[in-house]
Amino acid sequence: MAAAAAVLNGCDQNESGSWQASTATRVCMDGAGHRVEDDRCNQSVGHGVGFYYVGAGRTVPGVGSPVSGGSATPEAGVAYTDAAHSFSVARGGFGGTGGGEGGHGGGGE
Amino acid sequence: MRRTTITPRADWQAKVEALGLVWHTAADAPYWNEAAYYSFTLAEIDEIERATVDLYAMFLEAGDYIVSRRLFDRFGIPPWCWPLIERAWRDEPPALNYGRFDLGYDGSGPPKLLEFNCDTPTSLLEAAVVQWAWKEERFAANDQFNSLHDKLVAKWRDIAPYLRGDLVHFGHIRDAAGEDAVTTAYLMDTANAAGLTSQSILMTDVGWDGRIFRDLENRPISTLYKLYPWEWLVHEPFGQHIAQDQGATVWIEPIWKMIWSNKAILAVLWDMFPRHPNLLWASCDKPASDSYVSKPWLAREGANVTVVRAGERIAERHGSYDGPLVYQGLFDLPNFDDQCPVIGSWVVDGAPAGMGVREDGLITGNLSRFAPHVIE
Repeated sequence: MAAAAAVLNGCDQNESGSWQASTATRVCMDGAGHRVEDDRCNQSVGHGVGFYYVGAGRTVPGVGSPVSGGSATPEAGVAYTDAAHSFSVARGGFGGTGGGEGGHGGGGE
Repeated sequence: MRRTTITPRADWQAKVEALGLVWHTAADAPYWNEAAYYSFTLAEIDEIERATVDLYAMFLEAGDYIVSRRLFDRFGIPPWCWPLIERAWRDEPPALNYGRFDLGYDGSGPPKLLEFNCDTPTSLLEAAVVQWAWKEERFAANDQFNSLHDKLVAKWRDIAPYLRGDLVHFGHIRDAAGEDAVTTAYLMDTANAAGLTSQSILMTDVGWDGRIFRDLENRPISTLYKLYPWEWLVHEPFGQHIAQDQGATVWIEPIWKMIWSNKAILAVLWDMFPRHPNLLWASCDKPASDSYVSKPWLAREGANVTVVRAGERIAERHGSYDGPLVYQGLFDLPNFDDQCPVIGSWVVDGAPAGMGVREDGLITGNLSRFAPHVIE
């Protein structure tokens, strides 16, 4: 599950590494404070595993890494996405030709 | 075909601005010129319309020819684009299928194709809205070759059921004159009039999450109209992601427009339809003739176009485009009071939708002036 989530979430990060989420994300952690596969929380929350909540723009730890930068308690009013459906968004990959802003427009032939 | 000078309306700047034309004045000379207008007879309009229909049919045949033989490398199109172009040409994804044929015409012979601008054509607001409002005020009893607005709205209505959801994003960049924002805003209006919801986005803000494109609110971009050329997109850092999203984003206009918007197609057309009355000779090889026009395949707004007559360069518009050239026969644009008009004949959904006249010196560039017209 975690490997699939890593592939879904961008080609510029390690398969098992951490990445920066664009949306508030929740992951699964064990009693020792390390991130584990999300499946384990789906099966048995409370039996040694629980959710860990990371805010938008924060780093989502990779599986096996200690969790930090978030909280075991979700913030009120925030909708958290499971890591498998969360994502990080890169921008700036279009629009640079033609001198950029203030230069030649994209329209006009 | 006649050109007549006329006193502009006293408050013309405010009137055209109210319609959205906010860059009407460029470099101290009005871009929208209502100090003159053109008149055409119905027979002349019919001739332009018929030429437009015939030219469009030729472009369809040329497209089939190029796609079926995979002649893409002759156009300098990167190989990763080829399967996308083939699929889009075959499957015909939703599109406005619009464009502007630039025609040389003086009323005394058949209109001649100078080029076809069908990826990011502009002067759309002037042709669809501004010149109509001018005509209604100055020449209410006359007609004008212009059904652009209605046809654009109708086309959005047609394709709406084939889009994922009713949110359409409109991608553009900020250019110094603000022209792109105006053209984009107008097209958004036409989509809204058709019942869609439009959302403007700068191309630099388009996001990629590893699977799909998203906007600034991280919403998936299902449909992206772009006032931004394909030949720029495919060479930019996110270019190849277009091939990786499994069709999640529908691009308007579709990628097959890369074939038609490349001026190398002029040479293909002459090969397929030599001496057609609406074509000028064209070749990618330098001609033996000492009178011709040369244009880079992918230049825009007249940049790097050179006009040579009897071996002498009589006009040259500078720019930063280089690369392979297409050579084309020289058409003597008519001279009306030292203004040389070019007819911009529009198609929407592949059918004639109206025309605009732009006048300039020998090479029509982005500072050419749009002049309205009436039918006598």
